[in-house]
Amino acid sequence: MAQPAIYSLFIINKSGGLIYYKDYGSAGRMDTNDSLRLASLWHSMHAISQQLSPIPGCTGIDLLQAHNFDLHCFQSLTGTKFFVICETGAQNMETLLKAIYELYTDFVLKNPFYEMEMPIRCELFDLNIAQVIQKDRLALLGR
Amino acid sequence: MQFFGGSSLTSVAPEASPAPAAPPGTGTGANAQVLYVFNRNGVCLLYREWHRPLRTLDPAQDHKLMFGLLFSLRSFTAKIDPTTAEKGNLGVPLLPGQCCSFYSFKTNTYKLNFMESPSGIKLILITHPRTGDQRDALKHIYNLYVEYVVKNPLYAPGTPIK
Amino acid sequence: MAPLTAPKSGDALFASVDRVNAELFTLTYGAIVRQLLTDLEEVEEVNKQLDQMGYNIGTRLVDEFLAKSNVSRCVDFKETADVIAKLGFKMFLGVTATVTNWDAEGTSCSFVLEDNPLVDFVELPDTCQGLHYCNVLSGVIRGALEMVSMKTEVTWVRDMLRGDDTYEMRVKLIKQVPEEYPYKDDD
Repeated sequence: MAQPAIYSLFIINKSGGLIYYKDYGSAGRMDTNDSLRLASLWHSMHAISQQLSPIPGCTGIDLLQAHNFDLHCFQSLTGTKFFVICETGAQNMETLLKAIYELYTDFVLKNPFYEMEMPIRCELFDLNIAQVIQKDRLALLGR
Repeated sequence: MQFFGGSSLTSVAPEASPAPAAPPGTGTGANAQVLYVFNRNGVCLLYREWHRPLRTLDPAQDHKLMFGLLFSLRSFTAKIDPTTAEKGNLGVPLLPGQCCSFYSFKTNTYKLNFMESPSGIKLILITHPRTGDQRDALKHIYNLYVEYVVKNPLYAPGTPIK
Repeated sequence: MAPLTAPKSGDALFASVDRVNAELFTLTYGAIVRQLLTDLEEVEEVNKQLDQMGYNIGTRLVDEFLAKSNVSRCVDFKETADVIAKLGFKMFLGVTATVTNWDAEGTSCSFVLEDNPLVDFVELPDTCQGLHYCNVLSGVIRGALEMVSMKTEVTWVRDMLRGDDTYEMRVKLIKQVPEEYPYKDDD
């Protein structure tokens, strides 16, 4: 089975609460408790990385490289964080994160029944995200 | 990549630390170059800065925060690893080398390169965000550490390196 | 890391979003105001509700704006005001506002709107003289700025429906509220 380019997607609200977690086929799929704790942990580490910066104007971690995966993170100016766990060396993740941000502003924020800062339960959002991720995966297979 | 220009492995007396010249290729302004070495208990054995425009915290707090961040990042990385299913609970102390570990992270202002030896010695090198993979440089630094520090009979393990 | 795309100009932004029939927009807003007046009866209450609605819209709208316009963090409040006047108003209402009347500290300014699509064909009757018909706009600005860590106070200074020659909103920056850094002690 082909390696998925993207293993999972997390969205964290401005207070560090997990509002969206989707696993796209990794062996490391987590239960709710674990994903909540990891999101909260990422939120604090992201903030601490800014405090430790030796140069002013740090906006936090945007790429974490590990032996088995890469993590790309995007934080909007409103404090919402979007991060993907993907295979090492995956390209164009920043573009993907931007696309996900746009889908969020469309299918989540414009849904009047969605309560701000709460977990996202919007089917259209799920559908569109899955499509974008699938497109990315197919593009990669075409290498 | 040579980081300690001007020192060679054979000609330095055990007590003197190699005088590190500024790493080559560092410009001014947006470049930072800082090195931290911690042991497994969080004692900062070595802290060197060649270029650090901003110091937000006093050294003790800075070291503590740095160690804490790395500790959390290791737990985080091990737990979020998508390639293995069986992982311990978050917060369980990890042995160095066990589970997937991270080797660098990048922000818009700096890049942090990390290496942990099996003995729990953590090396951190802060560089310009666009610097390439520093894993070899860190291994080189670790080798220097082994040569000059570990093998120095006058050095007491767990104390800051002079 | 260089930005993926440069920030768009106001016209480019306006051209890139879906448009809705202006009459429908004006009529819909008018219907909301009428309904609120019927339900609440007190003009002051309606003003408050319009502001609250605007606030709720603003907190969601800001991400839409940031995502589509690609602006980066503004250096100071002056830059923020310019971005709102030239890009924000253009993108959502199709009109640009002018920024005037800065106070000495640079924390308070006015947005002046010559053209306001909300009020096409509207005339306030005598019974509604205290009504700020466009109060939703002040709420939107307040809500949007709060989401990027700025607490503001927005009031109407001039209102054409009340006999003035133009629409003028006064925006005052009360304080910047940076996010709290959580400290994680793991040892």
